[in-house]
Amino acid sequence: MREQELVQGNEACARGAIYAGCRFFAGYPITPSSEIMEYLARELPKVGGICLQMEDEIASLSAVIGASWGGAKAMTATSGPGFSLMQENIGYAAITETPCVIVDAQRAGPSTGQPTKASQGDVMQARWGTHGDHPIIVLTASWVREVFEMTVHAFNLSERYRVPVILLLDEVLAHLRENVVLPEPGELDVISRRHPERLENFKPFFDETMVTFGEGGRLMVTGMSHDEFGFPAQGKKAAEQLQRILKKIESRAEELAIYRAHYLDDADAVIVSYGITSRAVEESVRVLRAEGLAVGWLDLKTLWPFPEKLIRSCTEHAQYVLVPELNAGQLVREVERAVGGRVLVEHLGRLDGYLITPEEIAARVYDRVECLKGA
Amino acid sequence: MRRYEQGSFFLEIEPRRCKGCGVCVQSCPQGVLTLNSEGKVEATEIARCVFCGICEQRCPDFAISVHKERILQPSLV
Amino acid sequence: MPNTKELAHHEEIQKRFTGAHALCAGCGTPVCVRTILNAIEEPVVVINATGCLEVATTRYPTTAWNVPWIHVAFENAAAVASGIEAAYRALRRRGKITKEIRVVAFGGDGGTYDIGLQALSGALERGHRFLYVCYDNEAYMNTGNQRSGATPFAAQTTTAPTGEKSFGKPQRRKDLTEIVAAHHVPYVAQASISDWYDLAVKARKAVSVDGPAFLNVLSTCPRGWGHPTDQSIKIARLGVETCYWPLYEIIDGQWHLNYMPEERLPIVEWLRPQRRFAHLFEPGNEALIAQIQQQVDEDWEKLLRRCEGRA
Ligand code: SF4
Ligand code: SF4
Repeated sequence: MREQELVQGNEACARGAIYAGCRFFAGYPITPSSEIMEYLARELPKVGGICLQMEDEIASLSAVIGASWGGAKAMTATSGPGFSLMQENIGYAAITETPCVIVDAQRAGPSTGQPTKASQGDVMQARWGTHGDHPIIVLTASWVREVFEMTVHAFNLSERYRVPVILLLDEVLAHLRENVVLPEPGELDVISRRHPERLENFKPFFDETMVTFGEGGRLMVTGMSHDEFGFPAQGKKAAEQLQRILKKIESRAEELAIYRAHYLDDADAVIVSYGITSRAVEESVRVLRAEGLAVGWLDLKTLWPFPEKLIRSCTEHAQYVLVPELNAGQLVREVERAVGGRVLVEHLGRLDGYLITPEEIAARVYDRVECLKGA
Repeated sequence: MRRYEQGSFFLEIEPRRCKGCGVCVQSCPQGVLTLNSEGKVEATEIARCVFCGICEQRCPDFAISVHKERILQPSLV
Repeated sequence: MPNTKELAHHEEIQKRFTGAHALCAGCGTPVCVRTILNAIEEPVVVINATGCLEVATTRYPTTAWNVPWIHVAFENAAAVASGIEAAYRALRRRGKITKEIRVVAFGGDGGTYDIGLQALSGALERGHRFLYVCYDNEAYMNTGNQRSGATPFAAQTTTAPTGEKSFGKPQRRKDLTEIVAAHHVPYVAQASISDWYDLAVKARKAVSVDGPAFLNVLSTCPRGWGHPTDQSIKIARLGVETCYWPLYEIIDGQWHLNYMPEERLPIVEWLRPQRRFAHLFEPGNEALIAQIQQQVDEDWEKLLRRCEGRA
């Protein structure tokens, strides 16, 4: 048995990355994610990896993309303003099917915002920040051990499907220290990219197998619309290729959905939460259940692709759905869309940089459930 | 507020604003200033002061200032 | 034109930048900012890149600035300055503004050497009339001491740690003053917070030229450098006396040395009081110190040749 240790969220992320086989990190200092780079600057060289500090976030993700094509599992970490600078390259990584992990420790925005305050305001940016239709996987976490697991998972998905994976943390979780027992080597699966069986006539942009530079095959990697050989393409060819990479992720929405479901069987009211807000929901659900309310809780870890069917089935018998999130209403729109008007869906937000409290959530659910009973 | 006088000039130190960075101490060409045991600045050699105002101009926290008594307010001239 | 001493007693000018900010005791930044703003006679507009100066002078719910002040982002102070200056130029041309207004941008070394270099280079090349001041404390201090393009060889930072496999930053710092000079701008200078008169005069000259001007100011950071908070001016002075940070200016392409130490101090005098160099004094690292001394010697010789005795 491993011993309990006091670990910071950022450190758990960095350790998770090393566990997952990450051997290249490029980043740029920014609150509240700097500790990830600081930890990796110390620890990556010890396992034969490389940690580069770049001149900005554009360069950071560029270097990560380069390293990924050089054959390494690669990651960068940032926060809001840096995440905005990375958007162009996120689109590039998506269209070139470059495995890479981007950690965004969200802080209150927009712009400089409140660098030392938490937020969940980048949920839509993570999905749609870069221009054009593109595939993306976005994960999140609520507890320090989960940060570790989700980082490993992010690498696994990225390598498995050749897609950039974004891990959304937030300021509080990034800086939070918790007593945890982190996974032992071998406890979690670690997946690496698959190689094609033969190099002869291989198509570098055809499926989820990948060849990297220096292996012998001819590679042409471009952000321009391209065909399965990487040659520039237009018209039908370009559309087909884009459709393939979109489908690769969208068609797997349900199998990619990671979540925890609590008390959903008999729930009249369902709380859908993710990230740091889930910690408050946990407590509010306990209180509401003790009060005798039939409250269920869906704790999402995969935000994109959005698990539409899951939401639909979990809210089938409910009369009320609450989505607490630290923004002015982002994921709630997706939940509304999935529910399709059958149930009252409400948002509970906060923009002052402080966390939503269990009391706020419990009070809102209590009020609404009483109200609906009366009606 | 501490006040150190010499003729019609005086030097004022506001210890509550002083962070004890010693910028004034090290910048004073006359060696007038020192940091005391509490880390606050004191004009221990006020007799040497030439009231050049360097300390006032350099202090990052506006804790030290140099004055001439009965100075005319520019707006009243 | 009043001299700097007169300006120092000008109340309005004195209060362009006020106290009660949260910059650390011993921080060189406010000393740099005050000295420069106190030396400029005309009204100023200040542009601030992200960094300690921006964060610590605009703490909720206060500000230390009594002048028009704008912070946009980390990478673009010079670009914002370009816009402001171009707008003023247009308004002056149409006679809507008659006053001379000085556009002054402040950025740390991270926001200048690294992420802001592209914006700075563009603004210099376009020839905007503005003064860009880099308060150079040789690392990303606002985010907790990560290495930057300005961090000197062998200094320890959180992302250039010391240990079995590393002796701190393995690369040399880039010479930004020279990079700026290569843009053929009318005024470029290197200064230090320790030499206030030199700095004030340089600020004055910088805003009087008709075109871009640049000041690279050595600015101490007791937290990152690891020296006592009450020694900042002395430490910066040692940077000058060891010729690690020579004071010079480049006016219309002509190099001038501003200060020639009577006797050059050995580089260890600069290294020893700073904890970021402490590992260099452990046995076995003598060669690193010799290497630093050699770099400084070479740079100094090169500078002397360029200045050809002009002072
Ligand atoms: S410069 Fe100001 S804050 Fe620093 S020691 Fe002198 S009076 Fe105090
Ligand atoms: S006025 Fe000049 S001489 Fe007097 S204490 Fe200040 S710096 Fe020293």
